Amino acid sequence: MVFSSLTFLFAYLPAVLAVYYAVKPEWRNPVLFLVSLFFYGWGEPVYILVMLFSIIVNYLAATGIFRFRNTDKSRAKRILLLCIVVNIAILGFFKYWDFIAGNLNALGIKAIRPLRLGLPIGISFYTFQAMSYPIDVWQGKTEPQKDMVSFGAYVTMFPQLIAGPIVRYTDIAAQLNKRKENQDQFTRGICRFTAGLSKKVLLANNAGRIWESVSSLPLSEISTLTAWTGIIAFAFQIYFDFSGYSDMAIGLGKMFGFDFPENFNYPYISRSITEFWRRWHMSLSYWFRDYVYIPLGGNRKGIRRQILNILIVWILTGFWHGASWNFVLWGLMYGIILIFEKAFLLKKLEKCPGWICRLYTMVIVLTAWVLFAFTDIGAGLSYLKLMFFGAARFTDGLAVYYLRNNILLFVLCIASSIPVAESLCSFLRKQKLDIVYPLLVLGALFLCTAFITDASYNPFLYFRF
Amino acid sequence: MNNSSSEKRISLMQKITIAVFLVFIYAMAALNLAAPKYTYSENENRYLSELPSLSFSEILSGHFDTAFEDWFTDHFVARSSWICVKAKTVQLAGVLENNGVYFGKNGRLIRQFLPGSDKMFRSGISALQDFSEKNNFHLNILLIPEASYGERDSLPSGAFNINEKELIETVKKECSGQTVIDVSDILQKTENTYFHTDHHWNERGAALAYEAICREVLHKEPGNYRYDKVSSSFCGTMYSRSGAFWTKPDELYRIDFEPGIEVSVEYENGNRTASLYDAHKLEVKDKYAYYLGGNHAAVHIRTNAASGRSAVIIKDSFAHILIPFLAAEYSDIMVYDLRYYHEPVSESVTDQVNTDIYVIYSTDSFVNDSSLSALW
Repeated sequence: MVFSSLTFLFAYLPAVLAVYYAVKPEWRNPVLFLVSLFFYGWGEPVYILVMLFSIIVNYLAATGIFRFRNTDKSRAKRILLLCIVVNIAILGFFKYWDFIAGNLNALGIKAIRPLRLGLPIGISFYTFQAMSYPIDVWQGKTEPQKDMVSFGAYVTMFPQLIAGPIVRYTDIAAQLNKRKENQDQFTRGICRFTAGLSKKVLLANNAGRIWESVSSLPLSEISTLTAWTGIIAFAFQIYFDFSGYSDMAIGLGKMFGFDFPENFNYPYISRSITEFWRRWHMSLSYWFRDYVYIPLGGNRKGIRRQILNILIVWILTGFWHGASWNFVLWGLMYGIILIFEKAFLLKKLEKCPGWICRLYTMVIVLTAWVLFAFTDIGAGLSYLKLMFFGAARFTDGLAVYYLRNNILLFVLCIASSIPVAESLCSFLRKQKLDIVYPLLVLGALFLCTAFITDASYNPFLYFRF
Repeated sequence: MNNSSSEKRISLMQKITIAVFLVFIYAMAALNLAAPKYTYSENENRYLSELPSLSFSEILSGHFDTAFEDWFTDHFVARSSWICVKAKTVQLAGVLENNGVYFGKNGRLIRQFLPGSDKMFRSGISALQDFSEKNNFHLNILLIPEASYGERDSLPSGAFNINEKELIETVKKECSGQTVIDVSDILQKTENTYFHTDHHWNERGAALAYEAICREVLHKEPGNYRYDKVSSSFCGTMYSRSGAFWTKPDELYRIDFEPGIEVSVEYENGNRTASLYDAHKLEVKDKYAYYLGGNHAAVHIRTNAASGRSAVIIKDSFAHILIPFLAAEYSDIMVYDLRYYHEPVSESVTDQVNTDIYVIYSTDSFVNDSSLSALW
């Protein structure tokens, strides 16, 4: 069940809110745990076991680490390592087994067969999330959670279960034990959720339609302008899809009294790739920084080691996005550019006018999105060729049509990619026009419901006949 | 203004926001529970999902969730109104089409025709060449443009479609030994030759093609015919697909010649009638099936026309509304739809001298439908 579905909006959410607020505060974590398990098991009943296993392993490991970290350090360390291995093994098994098997087969090694198991929803997110907890306990950043149900509520918490943000235990430890839901936070939650829903349903889905249309054209019909329009539409699709989902998660979190960390901060206004990755999927970048880059030595072991560390982090980041070589290439490309920026490019960029920096950043980001969008690297390269080395035509009627037909969508996407809404909000507050908020919420919910319902509309027509 | 009144105002705004949100989701949830459930969606031409049974094995199979969500969405309260709201929003936002249907001028809904692979188009042409060569047949090819060409003056400005004229010219060039009847210009110049709410041409468009056939194939004057309105509530495929449920329905006309002709029609399933029209179809959603009873693999039509000539027609559904005209000119017509008919068509041509062979396709089927390559 995704948040942008009628089932979630008009069945699950009303039911869960009612139950959650009907019970006493001490029962709210158990309720949250149960409804989250239901949410998870809804699509994947069997994989609940995987999740419960992960909860138990990390809970016990953290308890053990805490017990021995001051008395028997090496024992605590062994527990931590074992726990990390188990976590990685679970993720590796479900996400990468078939990829490894496929590649080995291609090399003629028939040692393992692909299993074609479905990927448990959100496993990439919740393994990282759960794993951060024993590590933080080991590093002394937090005390272990005594109540396993509360810990279970943290891992399974349905708002951020599927697509992040990756909430670390330390982020919400205090709220997990004691929180006071209130009117102000609930309202912010509603506004944030509605904004995220609108991003997903009104912007991302429609931008996705453009990309779908362009990417299904025969290459000979794609002019240079069409190619750029298509990948820009993809960039908007992925940004509003992902950040919209994070907004919905953060908003829902607030409705239940939690403050999750932010995940996106207008990445498309960045002046460098370094800055882009401080603004894009922040909870993942910080996770890799804190749990991979710094433990590997970060920049403290000389320049060679630092370069290696950056490359490792970025290959892993790419691989985390999907079990396919194009994601590895995508991550590697970012790793290399970040190394160049650290070495000298950033200093050069600082001297350039802002628009050049932004243009530089966006051209790289869009190029990278092409690698990301095509699982088949060859197809991605052919598309890049159309963008950079010319297609049969620079522009044509089709390109103009895509732009003309979606002019308002593009304007809205651009406006939502820059911090204009925030200035608008503070302007409204100053002018005492707060009353537009409920109207906006109502209007957005109404439109989103129409667009979601329409998405199920599949006229099966004999239109060719 | 002091602080506490500003706080009060903010608190009031928050209460209203919360109320709006909760009322919306709970009211919709309640309305949805109370809403009547339907089994069939006429606009979509499909049965709606059924509520899955709540059994242990069903849940473990992992299909319960999607089945339930399909059911929930299919039966969502006021579903078609939501779809209509979406279509109207899109139109007001300046988008030229919805679901690939242009909002044309004067309430005309026109199917978008974007470029695709030309592989099928090429194989269609070579199928015709082979068919003609192997059997030594002369073909009369009628390629009917879509409304996106025939009614292009009604397209919203900024619309884009592939150049159908170019397709037709290519067919003319590649099939130079055959008679290619090109009605694209006359269809385009004449107003109202396509339905407003359906992708087919209408009786007026078909009449233009009939006149062209008389001129180029039969070398005679067209007969006298008249139209009689049989329905004014035809909401066609483009109506359904666009979600533009505010569009005015089309009228359907019966075509009769003076003097009248008698026909006997036999379908591949053995059914016989004495009419080219199926009045029952006026009661259903897809009223275009009024002409020739809709899609059939093979139809054999015998008439009392005095010409003594026969016709073999290989066609898509655009031909259905043209056949009442042709029935006035041929005493025996065999109609084949290659999507359903997989026997050799060539065997039904027994008397080549007195038989005209027609290939009647819309450009869309010609480009996108692979069945033509199965012609033999």
